[in-house]
Amino acid sequence: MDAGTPLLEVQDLHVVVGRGADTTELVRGVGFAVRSGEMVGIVGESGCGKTMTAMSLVQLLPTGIRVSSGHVRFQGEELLGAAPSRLRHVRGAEIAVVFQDPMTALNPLQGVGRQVAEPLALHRLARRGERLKRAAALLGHVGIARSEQRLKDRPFEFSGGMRQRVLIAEALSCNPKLLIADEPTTGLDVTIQVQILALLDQLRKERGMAIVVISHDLTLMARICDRIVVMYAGQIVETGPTAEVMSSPQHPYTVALAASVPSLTTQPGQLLPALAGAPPVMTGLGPGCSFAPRCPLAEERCGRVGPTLTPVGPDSLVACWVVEERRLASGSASRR
Amino acid sequence: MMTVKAARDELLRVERIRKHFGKRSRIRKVSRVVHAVDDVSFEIGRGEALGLVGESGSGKSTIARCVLRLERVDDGLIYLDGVELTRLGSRGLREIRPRMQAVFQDPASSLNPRWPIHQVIEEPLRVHGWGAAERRDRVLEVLEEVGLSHRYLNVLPHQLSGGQQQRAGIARALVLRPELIVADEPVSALDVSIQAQVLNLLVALKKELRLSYLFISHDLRVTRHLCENVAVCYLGNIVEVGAGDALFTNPLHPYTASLVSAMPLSVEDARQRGQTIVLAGDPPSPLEPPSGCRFRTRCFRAQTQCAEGTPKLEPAGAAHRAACFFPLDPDFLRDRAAGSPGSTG
Repeated sequence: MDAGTPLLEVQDLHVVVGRGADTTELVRGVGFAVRSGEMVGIVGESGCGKTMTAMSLVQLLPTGIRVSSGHVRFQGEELLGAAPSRLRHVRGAEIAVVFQDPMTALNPLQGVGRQVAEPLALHRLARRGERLKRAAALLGHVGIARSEQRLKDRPFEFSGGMRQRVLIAEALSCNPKLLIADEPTTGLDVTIQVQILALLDQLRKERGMAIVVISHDLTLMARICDRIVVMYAGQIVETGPTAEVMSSPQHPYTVALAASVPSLTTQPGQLLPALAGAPPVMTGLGPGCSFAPRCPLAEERCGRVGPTLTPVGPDSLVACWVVEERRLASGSASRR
Repeated sequence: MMTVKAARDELLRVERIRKHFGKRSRIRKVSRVVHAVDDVSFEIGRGEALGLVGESGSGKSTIARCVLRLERVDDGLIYLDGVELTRLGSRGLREIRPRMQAVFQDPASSLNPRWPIHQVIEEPLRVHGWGAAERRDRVLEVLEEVGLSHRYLNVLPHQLSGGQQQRAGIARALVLRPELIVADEPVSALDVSIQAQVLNLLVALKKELRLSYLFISHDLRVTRHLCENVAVCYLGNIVEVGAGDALFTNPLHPYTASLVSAMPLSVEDARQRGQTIVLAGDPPSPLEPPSGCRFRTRCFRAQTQCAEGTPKLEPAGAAHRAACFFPLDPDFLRDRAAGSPGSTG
């Protein structure tokens, strides 16, 4: 792998549920890249396919849901269609996952030390006697005080924030190069959310680990991610460096997402620019742009033909006919 | 029935309420007490909204349940339009309940899954003895108010989207024409774009119907948008109360400051990573609240005095009060943003 190759490269990923005529596409041609040490945030509302995208990277999709086509290359190696034994090696050791909901992701009957050390045992990375020592060190590292004495404590003896730390310690146990965190702060209290985000940021800096974070909260992602990927109805509608996406969002959906959260610039009680309607049902998508029915800018052709991701900056892509048109118009004007 | 008339047009007055839950441990044979709400007072004017913000265990939901008389207070008084609620009997309660209604967090689980929407909304009217024709008219009227189409009258809750379900929940609360709505996290289960729709509805209803809200949320941005006044709760106490803008731009209590910095109010805020105050540790258990100021175990300004005495809510400017021995400078957050490194946990 040379320096130019990204750590992870996803191309034209399609995820479907059902078979034959009943097939519904949940993820429709998603592609992005993650470099070493980079933190990328995938943002979208429930049902937009963000979790399905992330779970297809490690092929941990729920029963009945499968990847129908596309590429997932990790350090240049194709993971889709790789042998199960190879995948078992990659999962946990190279790519680790912090699952949603710290309340249910741990085994309630087992001490946390053994759970944190379990990947070490599975990947035969440490001897039995050494594992718990490593677990204690990991737990200490993620901010659990007196970790040696807490190894035998069960998950119920920890608070929500502490359980999330335990899950992060487990994910870190084999020193992965890529960490996938699915809604790592959802359900946690505000002050605890800040602690977990600070921890992820610190870990990434210390270890040079890449992190893909999935969240529905755009402002939360803005404070820790280098790049943001916005998804809607199974597709990427906009992606770019955080500063650009946040300061000048292009796609009407991103604009609406950013504007629909009250901020210091909105007057209390003023009408929020809320999107009408609800996200589409994935079974009844037409040929055009799936955002068109709710889009304030929609034109006639948006309903007929779906736009493709087009560069709007050095590292930014947007899928919108109207944005592209405006760009072309202003581009030709400035050349004159 | 005792009646107290207040000077300003006051709808709800809560005076020094306390609620402890007994917890008897079967194993250790000692009884322990959860200090859910301690010495909490506030008022809400007619047509005004008060936001209660705080984290889990701060007692904000218990306060709401006490106001609705779903929970009896151990001590203290609650007046709705001059009528004292804590000692009302069942007949008195039946009379007063139509004037205060609740909207719950999760619309899907707070609507009966087997009842069509019209029945869900009609039920409070039936309970309070409205006739069939009146009921039908009122249901159609209230559907209009919350922006739900009449074609949803006969569908079941699961056939509606999350936003529509919450509109149905709001319609059920409004159908008896209440004056006070107690809303416990009404938008936190909704997606961002739907959340904005429901917030707009709540703002519009408040103006049109001159409703008062006791609005509970962990989201400062949402609270500031909807409420004139905000009270910040921590472990069963109100630590700071005031007008939303004053509270969020010039917080006096260190806990309020940490909440504000944790939840950026603007995109620019969000990008200033260094600005976040990261508090150490978890909130203590309400079973054994710390002595003195309950926030002192996580506070970045705590001194020995904080363990010895309990700070009271002291006025600091017009209608802005905070319970802290060492309140922050008015420009604390702005100075932090400007780059002076603050002490964090």
